[in-house]
Amino acid sequence: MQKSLNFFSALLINIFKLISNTSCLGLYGEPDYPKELLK
Amino acid sequence: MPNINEVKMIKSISTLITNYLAKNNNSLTKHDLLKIQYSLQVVLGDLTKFIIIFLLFLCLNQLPLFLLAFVILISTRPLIGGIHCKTFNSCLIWSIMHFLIILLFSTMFPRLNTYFCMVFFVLSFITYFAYAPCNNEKRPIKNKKILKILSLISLTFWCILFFTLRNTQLCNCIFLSLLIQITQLIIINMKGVVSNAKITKLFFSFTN
Repeated sequence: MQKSLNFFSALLINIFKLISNTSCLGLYGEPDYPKELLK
Repeated sequence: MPNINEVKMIKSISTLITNYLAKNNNSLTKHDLLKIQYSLQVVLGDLTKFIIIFLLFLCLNQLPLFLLAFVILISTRPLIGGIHCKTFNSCLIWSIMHFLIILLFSTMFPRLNTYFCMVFFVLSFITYFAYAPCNNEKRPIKNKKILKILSLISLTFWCILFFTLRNTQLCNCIFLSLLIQITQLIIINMKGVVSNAKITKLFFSFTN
């Protein structure tokens, strides 16, 4: 169970890295980027 | 049609999953949790929109054209950027309109003149080279050079496919999908990212 949670967390963080490297998302909108991560 | 409750629901589910991971995975920092929550919102939001549009085109019996238009969108928009919408609803309506316009154009229009298409692709390459990728009003873009190269590779692929295919509907679908992306690229670069919000407000003020 713990391994699955670690894997899922790592997957989502990698998805974030992928999104951050794109100009925008596939469809015509995206949620507000967390302000803390802009600093 | 989804309403504001659906947006709240996506946020609530994302927060719920993030809180669960925070409790059960001590190695995650505050920044990691923010990244996880953002990723969940993006994945759940886009998945919801995709399912709604997929079902719509399933009812219209036009799934192959929708899937092609979706693949073109996925292979161009993350690389060159585009107009953003303020709300989930306006984004969904824009996305449905995008696919419906491509569907109508692809099925109703005859095959375009080859010389006209050649001129279009040459102009597209110049536009991509000059303007791609455009700025995102919500977050900074760090790797512009890589995105420009990838967008040019993507455009080359669709250009080759366009001149290889003999099917009029598929060619029209590729042509209009690229035209819509390039139009957005030009609009954003001419008026700046602020205009995105203005365009959205103008067209979708009734949804806000």
